[in-house]
Amino acid sequence: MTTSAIRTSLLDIFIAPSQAFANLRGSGGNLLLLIGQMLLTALAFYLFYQGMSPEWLVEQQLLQAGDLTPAEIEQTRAVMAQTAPYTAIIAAVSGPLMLLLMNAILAGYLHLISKMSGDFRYQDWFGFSVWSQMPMQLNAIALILLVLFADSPNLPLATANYASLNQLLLQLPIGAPFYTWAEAFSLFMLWQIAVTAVGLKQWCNFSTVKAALFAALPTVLIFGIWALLV
Amino acid sequence: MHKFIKIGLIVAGLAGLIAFSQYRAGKQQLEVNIAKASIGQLDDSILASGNLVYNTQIQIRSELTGRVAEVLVEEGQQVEKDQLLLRLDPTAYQAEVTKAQAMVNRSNIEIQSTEAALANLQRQLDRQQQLLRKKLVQVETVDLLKSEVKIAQIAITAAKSQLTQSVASLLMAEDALKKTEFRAPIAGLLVSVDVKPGETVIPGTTNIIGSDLMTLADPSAILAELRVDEADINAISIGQTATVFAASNTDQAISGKVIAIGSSARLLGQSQALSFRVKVLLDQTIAGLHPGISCRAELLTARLENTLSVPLAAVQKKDNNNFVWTVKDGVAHKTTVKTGLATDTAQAIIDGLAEGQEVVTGPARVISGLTDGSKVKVTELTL
Repeated sequence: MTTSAIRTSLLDIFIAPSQAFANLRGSGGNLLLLIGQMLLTALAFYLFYQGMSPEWLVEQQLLQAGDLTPAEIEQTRAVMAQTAPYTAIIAAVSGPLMLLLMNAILAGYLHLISKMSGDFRYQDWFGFSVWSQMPMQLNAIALILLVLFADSPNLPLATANYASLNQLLLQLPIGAPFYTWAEAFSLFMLWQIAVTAVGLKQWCNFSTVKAALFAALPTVLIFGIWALLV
Repeated sequence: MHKFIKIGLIVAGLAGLIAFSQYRAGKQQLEVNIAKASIGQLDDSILASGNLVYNTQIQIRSELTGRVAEVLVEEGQQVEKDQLLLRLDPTAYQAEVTKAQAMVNRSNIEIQSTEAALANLQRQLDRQQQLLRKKLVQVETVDLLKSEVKIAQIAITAAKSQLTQSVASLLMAEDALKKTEFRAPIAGLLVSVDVKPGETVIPGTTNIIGSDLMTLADPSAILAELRVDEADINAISIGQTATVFAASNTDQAISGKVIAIGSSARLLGQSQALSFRVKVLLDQTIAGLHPGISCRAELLTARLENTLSVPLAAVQKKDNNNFVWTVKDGVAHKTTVKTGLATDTAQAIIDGLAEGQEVVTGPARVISGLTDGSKVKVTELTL
């Protein structure tokens, strides 16, 4: 795949995903794009956490921890205080690794369902999932801008989920049963599902409904089971 | 759709998300509580807890073994000095008196009898001595009589000693009899009456405490017996003022003075820490104060007049430097201060602050996240 084709696809994946996947069909993985995504994710996490004071971080984490007894709070605070100064580094390393893992799992899932129609290798699907993650990169860019424009580096941890269902619509308070669930569900995930569905339709000639179903299935399963457990 | 329009929509959407998040963050301005640095009196104090007791409290115990015949008073009753409170069955002790009296009488009779015998011997001796001068009797007869007179004199001395002993026994028996009646040693209040008619009481011995019969107290003066932690004891001295709050009157402060400090640390109350017993005499007694009631006290150990101070929660410490967050026009500023005496609630400021300056006192979670220049919203002003 040529550099100009990649450049075109970088834009098309947002404005004409069908066109982008048509160009990317069976092109295998793109290492540079993956590295770029990982670096951007690492940068976003690092910038988000690096300005926060350790005390603030501990208090924020305790706030998210929910109802604890005073003894548990002290114990947790002691543990958190030890790791707080390294949070930015830990997040900058673990974030990209999680991205890699998610790509690998999604590629495996797509490889599995594609056996019903089409004939693509695992690395093709890995490349597919890397491209389908592009909306999440916009999420990372917006997070970087949010951090840069903030008055204080001590931002609430929930700022990272600025496009979540909770912050855009529900406004559930911390401690509410569905708070974490609604914070995790992001607008960018819907975009990613839509991009995946368009890609599946393009590569596997699925119907729109079938493509949407397969694209949404992992997210629906995860959030569905989670909602049942809440 | 033209691709520039799509790009524009995506950029606008992202900008909208960022703007919305910023707007929400702006609405969630850091909300802080503040207080004003003020000049006033600053008291350093030590807190201690304990119980109320009467200043004068007498435990009435028995010196005798016996059965309680009568209890003439009730718990809570006011009694006069020397008022009869309780009576033990006197039968045995009355018999002891009678027996001792008989012994005295017998001793008296013994003396009379011996004196009569001596007088008789003396007369015989006189007569025999007259006959000896006329050489009508032998010397041995006179010597024998002299010896008998001497023995009779000794017998009289012995009888008199016996009488003294009998009199002493009588006195002891009479004293024991007297002790079957218990009278109030002072006028006061019967705090407790621990026996009932028919019960047997025993006297105390070396290792056994005798039966508690009653507790009599003078209710006009009440003490707070406090347990002061060993770490605080050096700050306590006789004459220091204290404010005592009884558990039954928690909103009423009663002033008092330290009148006694224990000489050694002990395990007092249920606490596992060592503490000293400190007695505070209350300046006044109020209704509803009863001995045994729990109390807490604030012992004033130091007082500074005209001192600039802020609430203790406002003072932060980092790298051995003390600082406070001052607030001016809704903006927090880190201000280094030099601190002085600290009480449980306030901190004296020697340098770095002026009277009237506003300082952030909480919440602790927000304070830990403040930076120089943070915008804050004041939600509560503590005066």
